[in-house]
Amino acid sequence: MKSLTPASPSPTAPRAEAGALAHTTPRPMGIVPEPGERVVVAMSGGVDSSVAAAMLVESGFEVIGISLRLAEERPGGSSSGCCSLEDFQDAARVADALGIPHYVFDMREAFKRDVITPFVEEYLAGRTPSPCILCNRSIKFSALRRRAAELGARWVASGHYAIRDHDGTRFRLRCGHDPGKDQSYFLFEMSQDGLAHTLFPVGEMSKAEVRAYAVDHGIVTAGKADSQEICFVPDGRYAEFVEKIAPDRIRAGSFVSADGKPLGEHGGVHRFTVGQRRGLGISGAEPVYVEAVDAKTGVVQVAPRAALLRSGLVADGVVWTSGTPEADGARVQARIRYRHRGGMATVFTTQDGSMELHFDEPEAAISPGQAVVLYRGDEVVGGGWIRSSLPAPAVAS
Amino acid sequence: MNGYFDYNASSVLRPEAAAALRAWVDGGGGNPSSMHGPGRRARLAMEDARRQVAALADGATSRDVVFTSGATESNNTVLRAFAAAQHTSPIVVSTIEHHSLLATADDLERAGHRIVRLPVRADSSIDFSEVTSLELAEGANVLVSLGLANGETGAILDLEALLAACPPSALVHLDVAQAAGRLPVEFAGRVDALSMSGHKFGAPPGIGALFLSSRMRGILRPLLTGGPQEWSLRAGTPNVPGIVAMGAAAEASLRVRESENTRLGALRDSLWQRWQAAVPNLLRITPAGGLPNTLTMAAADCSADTLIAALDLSGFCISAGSACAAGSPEPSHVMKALGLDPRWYGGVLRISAGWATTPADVDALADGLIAVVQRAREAA
Repeated sequence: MKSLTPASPSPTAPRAEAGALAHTTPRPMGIVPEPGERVVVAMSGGVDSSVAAAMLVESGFEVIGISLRLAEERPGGSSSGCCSLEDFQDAARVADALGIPHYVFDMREAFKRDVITPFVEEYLAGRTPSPCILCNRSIKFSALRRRAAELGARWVASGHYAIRDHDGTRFRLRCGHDPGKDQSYFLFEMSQDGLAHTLFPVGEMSKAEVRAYAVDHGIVTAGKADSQEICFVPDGRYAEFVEKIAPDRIRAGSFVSADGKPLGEHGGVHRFTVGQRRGLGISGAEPVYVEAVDAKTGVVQVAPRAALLRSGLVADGVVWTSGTPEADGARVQARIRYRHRGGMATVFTTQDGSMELHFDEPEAAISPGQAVVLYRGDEVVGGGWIRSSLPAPAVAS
Repeated sequence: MNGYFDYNASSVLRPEAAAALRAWVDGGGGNPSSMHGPGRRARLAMEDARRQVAALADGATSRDVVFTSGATESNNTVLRAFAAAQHTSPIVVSTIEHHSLLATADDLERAGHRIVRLPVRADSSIDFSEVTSLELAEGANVLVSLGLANGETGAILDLEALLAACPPSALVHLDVAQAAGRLPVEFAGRVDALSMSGHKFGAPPGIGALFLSSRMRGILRPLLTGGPQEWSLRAGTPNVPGIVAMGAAAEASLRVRESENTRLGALRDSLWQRWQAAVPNLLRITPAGGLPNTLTMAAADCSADTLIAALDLSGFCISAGSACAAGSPEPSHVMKALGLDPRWYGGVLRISAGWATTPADVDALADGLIAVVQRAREAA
C-alpha cells in the first residue's frame, strides 16, 4: 500500500512563495468525506485534472483515476490533443505518485455516436456545433457517472473551472473564479441530480494557483501546456475534419450579398459560421461577414458588420440548471458562445417549450447550433441551443 | 490472499525460475559464445535449460529447440520463412488465433501470399472442411498454423481431426503458448513446429522457444540475421537469464502438470457452479473440455472494463482478453468470430488460475465477483 500523501519536491528545496497557498488544507468543495468514500476523477493527463485528483486525495476521499479513450490515437502516439498514449501515461504517472488506482475506459463508440457524429452533422447542416457540451452531457457526467456507480463511487470529479455548491435549497453551478478559465458555459446541461454527484475541485482556484499547487506537490504535469482546441481536432481545422469524415457530402455553394447579388463560389457550407469574416475571400470596399448559412441551397449570405445585429434569439433543448424554470419576463445575462462577455436579456417561454430571449442591446453573430447559457450573477440558471435569431431591431433596418 | 487470476496473460513467476534467475545474476553473467570460464558456464546452463524445455513436448530433443524472445517471434519466423520458401503455397490459420499469427498472415497476404482463414463454430471448435478441400497448385504445399489451446476461450484444438483433414505433405505448426507446461504436447510424427512463451508457465516475459522438425528446419530462414547462434537460425546473444529461468519453470511445470490439471479443473468447476447459482444471466464460453485453469464467461449487460476495475479495487486481477498498449480492453476478435450476441459482448471476463492459486483465493474471488456484478447491475 502506497502512502496517500502526495509526493513533495525535495525536502531541502526552498518552498516557493506560492507554496503558502498549499499549506492550507484544501476544502475546495466544502465536503468532508466519510472514511472510504469513493470518487472517480476524470484524468485527461493535463494539469487541471491532475491537481483535482491530488486535492481529492488530500481531502480524504478514496480516489479512483479514470482516463477516457474517446478518439483514435494518431499513429505513433502524437502528443497533441487527447487520447495520446503520452496523455494516458501522464495520468497514470500522476495517479501512481498519488497512490491511487488508474484505469483507461474505452468510450470511443459512445463518443463517436454522441459527440463526433453530431459535430459533423451540425456543420453539414450549416450550423456551428459545441461538442464539449455534448461530451459533458453524454460522456463525462452520464456514461462516466454510471461507471462510477458500478465502482461503488457516488461522486464524479473533473478538472473543470466551475463551482458547484448548495445554497440550502438547491445545487448551484457557478462560474470558476479564474475569469480567463471559467468553463461553466460548457456545463449548463447538468441536472440537479447530476450536480448532486459532481465535484469540481479546482473551480475556486486560478490557473496560476493550480500550477503552483502542482509544482508544490511535485505533480509531473505541472508545466504541461493547456489544450485549447476541440480535443479530436487538435489542429483546429474543423472544415478539413468534416471533409475527411464525410467527403461525399461536401457540396460547393455560392456567396450572396444581402440584396441577392452573387459574390462567388465557396467550398461548402460547413466552412462557415455566422459572424465569420476570415477565409471568405471576398474583396470589397467594406469588410463583409457571414450573416446566414443555408445548407439546403448552399447559399452563404454575407453583409457588413452592422447588418448582423439581432434583437434576440430562439433556443430549444432548454435546460434549467437551477432546477426551476425562469418565469416569463425574467432578467438574465446570456452568453451566446463560450468567449462571449454576456448580454442582458429577457426570457420568454414559447408554446412548444422553446425559449425566446430578447436582448437589451442587439447582438451580432448569433450562430445557430451554439449554446446560449443564462447567468444570474455568477450562477448558471439554464440554457438552450440556438435555433435562430430574431429579426434586427427596427432602428437598424 | 493471492488475487491473481490472469495466468493466461502471464503466470506468476515460479520460485524455481526466480532461483535460476538469481543464480545467473549472482554468477556474474557471461556470453555463451565465449571460450573462457564464464562463457562455458553460461553455455552449459543454457544447454541444461534446452533439455528442460524440450521435455515439455513428447518426442522432442534439445536439438529441436531454438530459443527466441517468445511465441510472437516464433510464429513470425515460421510463417515468414514458409512464405519466402514456398511462394505458391497457402498458409492456413483460423479466425480465433493470437494476433501474432493473424497479423503476420495479414501482412503476408498484403504482400501477395495466399491465406486461408478457417471459421469457428459457436462451441469454439474450428471447422477444418476448407483444409480437406484445399486445391494446391503443382508442386505447392501448405502450412497449417493453429493454436493448440486458445488463450481467450480455453478451447483446445482437435489435433487428430486436424491431422486427418490435412494433406499428407502439409507442414503443421502449433502455437502452444497457452498449452506448454499445462497440457501434453506432441512433437513427433506430423507436427513440424511449435511456438511457446516462457512467461505463460512461470518464466519471466521475453523468452520463448521454437521447436523445429528437420523438414521445417530445411526451409527455415532466420528472422534476425547476424552471428551463428542457435545453429544460425536465430542471431543475437541468447537471453541466458531468461533461458535458465524458462528451463527451471518448464521442469517445475512438468513435474506437477497432471496433478495441477486435476486440482485447477476442480476449482474452476466449483467456481462456475457457485456463480451459476448466485448470478443470473451468465454465459460460460470456455467449453467443457477446455483448459482446466481457464474460465471465460460473459455477464449480460455489464461492461467488462468496469468489472475488471472494480475487482482490481478489491484486490483481484482478471482480464477481458487481449489488452492494448494503454491498458484499455479492445473488442476481441475471438468473441466476434464466435458470433456472440451483442448483449454478452461487452461483459466477457477471463479468469485464469495457476500454480499459486489456492481454494481460499477462489472462494474470495467468487464472493468478490458476485458483489461487483450485483452493484454494476444495480447502477445500470
